[in-house]
Amino acid sequence: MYGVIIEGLLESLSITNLILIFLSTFIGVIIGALPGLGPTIGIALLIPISYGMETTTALLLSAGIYVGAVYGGSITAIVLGIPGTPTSTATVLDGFPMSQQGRSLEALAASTVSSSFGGFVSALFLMFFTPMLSRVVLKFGVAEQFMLAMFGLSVIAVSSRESFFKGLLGGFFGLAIATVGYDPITGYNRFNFGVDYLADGFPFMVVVIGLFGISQTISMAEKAQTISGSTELSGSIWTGTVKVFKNMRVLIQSTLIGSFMGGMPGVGGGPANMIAYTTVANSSKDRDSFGKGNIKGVIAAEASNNATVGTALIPTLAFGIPGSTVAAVLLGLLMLHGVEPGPKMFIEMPLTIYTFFWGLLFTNLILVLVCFPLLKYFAKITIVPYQILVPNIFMLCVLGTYGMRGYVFDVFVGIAFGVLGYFLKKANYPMVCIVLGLVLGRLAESNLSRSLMIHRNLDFLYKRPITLTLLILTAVIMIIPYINIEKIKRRLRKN
Amino acid sequence: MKTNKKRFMLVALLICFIFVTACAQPAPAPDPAPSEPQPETPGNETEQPSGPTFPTKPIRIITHSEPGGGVDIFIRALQPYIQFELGQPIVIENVPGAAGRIGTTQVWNSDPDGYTLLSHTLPLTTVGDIVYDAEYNILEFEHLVAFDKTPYVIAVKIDSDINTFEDLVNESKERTLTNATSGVGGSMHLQSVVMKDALGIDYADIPFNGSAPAMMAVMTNDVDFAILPFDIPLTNLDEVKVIVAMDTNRMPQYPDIPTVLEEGYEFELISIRRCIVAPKGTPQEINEILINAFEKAAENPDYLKWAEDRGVNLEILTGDDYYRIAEEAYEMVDKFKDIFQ
Amino acid sequence: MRALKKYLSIDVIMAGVILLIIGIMAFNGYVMSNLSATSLRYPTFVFTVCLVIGTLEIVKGVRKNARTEFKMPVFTNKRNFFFVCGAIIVYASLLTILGFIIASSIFTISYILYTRYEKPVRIIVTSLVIVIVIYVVFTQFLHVNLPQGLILRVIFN
Repeated sequence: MYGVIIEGLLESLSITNLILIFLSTFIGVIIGALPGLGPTIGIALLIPISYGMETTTALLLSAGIYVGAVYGGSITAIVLGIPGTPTSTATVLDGFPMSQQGRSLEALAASTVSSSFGGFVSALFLMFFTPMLSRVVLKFGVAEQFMLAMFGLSVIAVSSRESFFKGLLGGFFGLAIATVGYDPITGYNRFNFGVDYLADGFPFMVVVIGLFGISQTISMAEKAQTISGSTELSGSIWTGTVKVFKNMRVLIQSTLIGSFMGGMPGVGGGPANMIAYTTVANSSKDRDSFGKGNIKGVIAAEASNNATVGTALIPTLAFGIPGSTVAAVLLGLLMLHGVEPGPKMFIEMPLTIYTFFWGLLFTNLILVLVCFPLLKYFAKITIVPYQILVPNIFMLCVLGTYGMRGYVFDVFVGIAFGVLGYFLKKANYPMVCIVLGLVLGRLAESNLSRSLMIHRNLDFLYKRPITLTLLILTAVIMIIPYINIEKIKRRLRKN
Repeated sequence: MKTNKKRFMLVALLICFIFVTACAQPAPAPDPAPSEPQPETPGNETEQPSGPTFPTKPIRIITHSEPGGGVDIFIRALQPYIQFELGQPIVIENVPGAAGRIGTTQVWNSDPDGYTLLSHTLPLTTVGDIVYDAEYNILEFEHLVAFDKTPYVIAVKIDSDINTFEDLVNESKERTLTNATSGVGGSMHLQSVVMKDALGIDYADIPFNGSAPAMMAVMTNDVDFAILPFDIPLTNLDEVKVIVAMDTNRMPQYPDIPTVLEEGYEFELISIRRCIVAPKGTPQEINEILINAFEKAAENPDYLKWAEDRGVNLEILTGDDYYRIAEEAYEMVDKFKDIFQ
Repeated sequence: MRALKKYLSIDVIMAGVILLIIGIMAFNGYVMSNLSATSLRYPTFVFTVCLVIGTLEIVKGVRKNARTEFKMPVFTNKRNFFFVCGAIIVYASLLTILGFIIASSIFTISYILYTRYEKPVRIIVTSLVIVIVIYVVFTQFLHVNLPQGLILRVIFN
């Protein structure tokens, strides 16, 4: 068995394969950076091109595109405030404020390094711990997934003490928006006025591009300034990198959260970056500086979203059940090439599989090589005059909103959310909470409904070990900000 | 000064600009993989009756599943062979949502020129039409070809107490069992409803997002069983066990598993079929060219090998034969539409 | 009317807007369509919470505005804001009629002219090139559909 692992390592280090990884990572980054495109489309595009290729080649190309695209979304998220992929939504929250302060280079560097780290660790999990981790995946049923969503949502309640109620209202508003579309249980359309376009709810990316991208650009056009407010950039790639390693706790915490959530089918990459971001924010002393350009936010978001890549492949390869939408397309690609997921795969084509695993590992390292030279140019976008940026960003937003489904209706929805987001920001409603509600709403509702249908009472909330643990964690997270540790210490000292 | 030159350049640019805009029709994309695994297939393009008038540009096949979902994989596997037969690129577009209704409606509203087709699953789209009042009328599409016949099996967790269909029926009378379906209004749900009605038993149908998550629910022990397309459990036979095959004869992939008939139960057995339809009103000559191409594509030895490895049960029906089974499916769903909540 | 303005600050207005949106959704859900009770259980919960907190926010805001004169600033430059909003709406509307290339170009050119950037010609030319490049890359290589424009289809078909 170990022989194959070494063989796979050598195979993946061959010149052809390294070049493939390099190219595909580069292409992946560009695909991810464009709003509306993402790793899903990237790999879907790869499918017809890969027909004539060998399986190993196709797999290595997909690894590069997957990793590159998940990372690439952070570029536009940081520089323009528009998440290039849904998995970079949390990156906007602190990455864009950093750009607005002229620190986009730092943010970009931190994002690259964190992504690389997160992805690397996740690929290690995939390579060495698949059998063990796939057992863990099987313990997470609908009740557990619901509690996980609740855990993520509970953070809304504690996100910001000053505007506690605004955060709560924003979160529930996000949940409300997420209810539009067909009821996951009965299948009937809700709240969509019979409009077919909304039969599946508001398309997530459209709302996000609108709330973040379009509202941000309207602000920029109004203020008539560059993104960074000045014509100088501060910080450097080096400072950004160093800061990542100075915050090891954040890095490791987010990588673990991302790896964990990536491995769960039904959860996947989308919620991971939001949950990691909010968890890190809530457990940090400088909680209130999040959302204003705290580099920890960028680290958390990017480490976690790339950490979902490797582990998303665990249930995909072990059970044939995709851990995320991208993994689903990848699975399709695999099956077209005759790779049958499951234990059979390791017996029939171990070399291919291990070459792929090693390739995935190296993609994460190569990511840094590919991107570092380019970061300077991306950062420069923040000092480009707004007269040039504004129309081009709107064009990108139109691309992003229209390109998803091909309906101009979606563009108007994006604009509507853009204007709404503009005013909500002026009124101090935290965007984090609204997005949390949007992201987790469906997950929470569908799993809650399923749990209720299966158990027909509420004992699944506390009778199962995992849900009980999550429940306790949720309660702890909600209480911690209100416990004044200093006061308790003083009281104890007095006695 | 230089203003005249600038003006001239601007005008020249404007002209180029208008020229590009005018040519902004999707030109045929270059064939992406010239080195496709195509051995000599007997009689390919030489049999097109109307010469080179169709197709002259890329053909879009819309599927109603997510990328990687059931019918998506199916049509993607066939794509290079269809492309070879027709000589034009085939672009597969995923338009998921609302249990197939969004994608199907989109094709329903498309021009009947043969360049937009729908790859769908029977009886899912039939349910959408009858039960959910979709905009389309499934029987009024031009029925081109049905490729396969995929019956269901019932799977339970490997250590479950339920070992036969008899056990399942008896257990359902003792307590409320739970069944995972691929979604409300899906084909798996339909089979479940039919089964409950015919046997007079009851249990809870819990909807998930697709057949793979449904099997996952069995593996995580969330539900007691699931009625799955037969090819899904094949990858996980150390986590789940198949207790009965829902087909008239034993299935070659499960030679030791009895059929429901053998167990002594008789009811309507649904098999899903992956098919292609064209919008209503597509000219007959175009339909024939397409049918011909699809048939030849599915006879390609490389494709047959893939199908065999995957355990796909090919059963190709074209034109009127396909329409006949579509009609049967329609009548069946019509019979059961009231039970659907 | 003037007196009312005293109590309205942007956060009160936005809380009101949120409640309005929820109200519209609720109207559609409860009055217009006949959804089953199970379908509506969870949304009812969410809407109720929104209603409660929204009202709370409005009351809080109004009371604060009654006490202090200070209001959160909303617009920094009304003219720019309305122009941009109007421009994107027009842009989106023109997409179906004129197609992506023409609509984007009109939008870009008019915005650059509006902001009176020095050396507009150079920027306009670069922008047009960018538009064309984006269109080509997305439609030919990435197979993403972009609006083609009804007028074009009519003229060239």
